Amino acid sequence: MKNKGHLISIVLIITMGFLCGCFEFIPEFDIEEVEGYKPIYVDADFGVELEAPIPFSDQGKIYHYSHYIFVEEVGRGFHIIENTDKTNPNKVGFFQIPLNTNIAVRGNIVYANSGPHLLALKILEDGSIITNKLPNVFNSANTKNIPPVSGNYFECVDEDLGDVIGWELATIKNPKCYY
Amino acid sequence: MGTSNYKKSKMLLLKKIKHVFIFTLLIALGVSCGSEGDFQFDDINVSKGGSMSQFYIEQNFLYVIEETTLSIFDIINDTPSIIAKVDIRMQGETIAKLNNTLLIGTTTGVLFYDVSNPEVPEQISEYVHITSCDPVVSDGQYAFITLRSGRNCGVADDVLEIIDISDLKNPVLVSSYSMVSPYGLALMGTNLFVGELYNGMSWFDVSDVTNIVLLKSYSEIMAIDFIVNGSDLTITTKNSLLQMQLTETNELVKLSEMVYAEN
Repeated sequence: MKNKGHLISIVLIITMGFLCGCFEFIPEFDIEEVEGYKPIYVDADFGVELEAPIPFSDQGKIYHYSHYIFVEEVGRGFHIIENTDKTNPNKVGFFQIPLNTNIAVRGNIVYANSGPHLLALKILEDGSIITNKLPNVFNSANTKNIPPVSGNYFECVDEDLGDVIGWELATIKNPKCYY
Repeated sequence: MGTSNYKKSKMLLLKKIKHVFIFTLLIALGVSCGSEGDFQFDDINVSKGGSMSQFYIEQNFLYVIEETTLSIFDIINDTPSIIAKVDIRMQGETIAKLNNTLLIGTTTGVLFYDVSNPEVPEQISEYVHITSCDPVVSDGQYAFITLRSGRNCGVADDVLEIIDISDLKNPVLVSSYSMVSPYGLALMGTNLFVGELYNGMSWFDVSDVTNIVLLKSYSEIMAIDFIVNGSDLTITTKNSLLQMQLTETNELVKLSEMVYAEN
């Protein structure tokens, strides 16, 4: 009886192996250019700075804080609009935050997501900003260093280039990784 | 020489921006710390988002909806800490809060969570609807939801639904109205504004929820989302950041319009 069970298991394993062998795509690595995923890196000690205004290009969500309006620049950060005079608002700066989609402000701290991380940007009296990071709290976290969608070539992660906070589709050259 | 002047002026500008920003922040802080030794954190200013926000901030907590997860952060200290992470088992899209209740718009319904103890959010009820995208606003008595079909939103009709939420344990559909392509929405007293992107903006009188009245449609305002501040309405449209005001004579007047392509 026991032996029979073993036999069935072995047959199953062989069958599965056979099926997998037939259907699984075995990637070739001898290709020059292909559409695939490319990691988005940021420096491990990345800090946000207040920058000069940039043109709107892909605006998203809006927020009100005190006499400011913030307009999301999808995935890149947000514009700061000074709105003391509602009949004449002025764009005065930009916060560049990679892979940012949402912000909220309380007192002198701006909370912003950046890929998998939550950043708390404390704005000091002298205008400098202290970036505190609560790492890997969001699902979009991809801490395993593999792209979000399987079945694609990707540029292998090089940890020397920084912290991977997300992935983008791009034409990649001579990929050495596949998932 | 030209470059260095440019750099200099850029530096000066940045400095100016920083000063203005800091000044505001200091005022905000100053207001909250009026009486010595009595820190009233409740009074610290917080930002306000549109109806399509996934962050909601209030007092000492930041509420975030992301995919099927509700995360709550304690933000008393400089570095926030996560105090709750809940699997809501639906695809979350928007988050708003009313008293102690979170209103979470998902692709399949609205979830109501009691967060009187933010460390242990508890689901009170859910209002299930057809699969669609749906921001939600509420005045406490009624919740207004827009359901939009289309890409990423499932197949459904485009409607505005009004739900009686006076008993949060048992949300009940009161009425439902056809819309064209509703995105964000805003409630200002008994005025409801709905952004319909390429189909413009609609302004309704919702004093009678069983019979809402279209006061005006603006085909030229391709509205996406709104923020209400008293009688001011900040609108993000396909093309611009538009500020309007509802006057005492119930007229909607334009205060300014910052055209995105020109700025």
